[in-house]
Amino acid sequence: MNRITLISAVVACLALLLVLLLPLLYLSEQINSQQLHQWLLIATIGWFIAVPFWFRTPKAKI
Amino acid sequence: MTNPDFASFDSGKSLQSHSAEIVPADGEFEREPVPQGRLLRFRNFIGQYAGEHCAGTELMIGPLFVAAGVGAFDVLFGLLLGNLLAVLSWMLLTVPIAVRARLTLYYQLEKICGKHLVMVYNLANGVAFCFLAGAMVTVSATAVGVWFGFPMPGLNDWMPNSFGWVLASLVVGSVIAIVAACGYQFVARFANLAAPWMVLIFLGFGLIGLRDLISLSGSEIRSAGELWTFANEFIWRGGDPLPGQVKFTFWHVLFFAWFCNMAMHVGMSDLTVFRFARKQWYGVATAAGMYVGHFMAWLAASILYALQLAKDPANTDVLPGPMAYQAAGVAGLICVIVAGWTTANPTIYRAGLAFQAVIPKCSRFKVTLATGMLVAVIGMFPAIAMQLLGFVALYGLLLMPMGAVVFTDFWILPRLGLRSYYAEHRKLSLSWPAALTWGITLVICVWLFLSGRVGLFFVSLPGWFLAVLLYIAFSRWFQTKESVTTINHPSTLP
Repeated sequence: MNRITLISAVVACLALLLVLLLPLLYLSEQINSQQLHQWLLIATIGWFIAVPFWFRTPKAKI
Repeated sequence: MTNPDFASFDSGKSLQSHSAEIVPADGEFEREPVPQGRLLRFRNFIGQYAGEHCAGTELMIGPLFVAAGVGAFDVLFGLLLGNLLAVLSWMLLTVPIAVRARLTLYYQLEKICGKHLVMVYNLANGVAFCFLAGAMVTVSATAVGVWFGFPMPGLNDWMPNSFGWVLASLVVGSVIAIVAACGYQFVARFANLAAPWMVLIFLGFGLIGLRDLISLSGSEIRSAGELWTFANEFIWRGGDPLPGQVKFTFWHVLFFAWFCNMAMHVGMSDLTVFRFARKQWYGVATAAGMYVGHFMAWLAASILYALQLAKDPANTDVLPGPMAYQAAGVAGLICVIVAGWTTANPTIYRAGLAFQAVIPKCSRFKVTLATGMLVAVIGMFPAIAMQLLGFVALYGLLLMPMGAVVFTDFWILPRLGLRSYYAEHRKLSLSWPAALTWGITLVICVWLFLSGRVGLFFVSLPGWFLAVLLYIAFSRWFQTKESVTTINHPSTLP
């Protein structure tokens, strides 16, 4: 696993964890609606930027 | 007929996205059993089914349950049991044949029914796919409506009600059509990458909706008992359905959950997927899809709709875009668009392949593009999306008799001393036992439904048994008759 794959894997996992935790934090009234929406968007962007690098198809070696 | 694209087409998912992981490259093992060395592991099937059942249409189905006046017990236990029956249908009907024959549904049907009847089957499937993809375009267009603020259709609208809505549906549908025509590999990969995020966003919809509903009602929930009382009073309240909707009971929910993917399990479409399974018990992987998509996602979407009704009882519109935006902001809108797009795209692609089989001289690009434009036009009309429960039941009913034919041909005919794969044996291009079984079963089921004797959501169950009996009777008649003809006219021997 090279550095880009590792970093993107960490970012993607963090983003997914946020998407899971944010509604739970909202349910327990730890964050408000505005914070929820902002952080969900950040986590979504993070996921879609990171995950293609994590699961990219390796180039064939010639 | 050797159409390499059929290998991927007949693996079609109606309410699902395509999986590039399980179905191999076009044409691979299309007309031969999958060899041992190419079988796949259990986790491949878990991943596929968990991801692909969180589709855009789930955001319509959950709210429509609430609109149908379903109660909390009915929806929770109806879904639990109905999904269990769906999983058992895959495990007991589809997978045992898939791991023994290891053939695509298309090739198996060709052996049983002949090429011409398979073409009719694919055409019927293609038309159904077009309407389903139209509903997905409708779902995505509701997200566009939030951004641009044009009037959107209501629960009982069948026609488009604003220029903005027409334009949004056409633009969304056209983009999906162009991408589908260019090949769906990119979208299939994107769908696989988006699946984990989408599942959690769906879960988030439910949790966020629950919090807002609790706040709005001023309730305090400290125990499971209080949560149950709250669900009965504020979410799934039972009582009369909204105007224009059929009242849903426990049995409606159970049968709907069981039969909404009928084309895939009882209808045998997933023979194509499970021919790659190492073991027969891999059919249990379908539970991941059922309990994530057809339990959690439907309940979450229904909570969002209950919240909307609690805020404004006059607002009965089932519009996934605004509901998702209220709950999760822009991320919710992205989820609606992605869920609609990733499922509509392969559906259009498969419908295009079905139509191309009828006009093989026309290029796949042109046919898929034309199909996509037709879907865009269908998407303008909210009738399919707003009546999705009934349409899904009809779709399952349409393809169910052919699943019964495959089942009977594989298990029952040899035990009765009759020949399986009769069309292949006799080199027939159309098997009358299969054609008559399909047609007569459909006519009787539609008559039972239209005459009010059996409800639309239940009629497929007696219909399946009827199809089995008809196929046995017609097979016995035709095979006996033709063997007599052969004895009398030896020159007719193949």
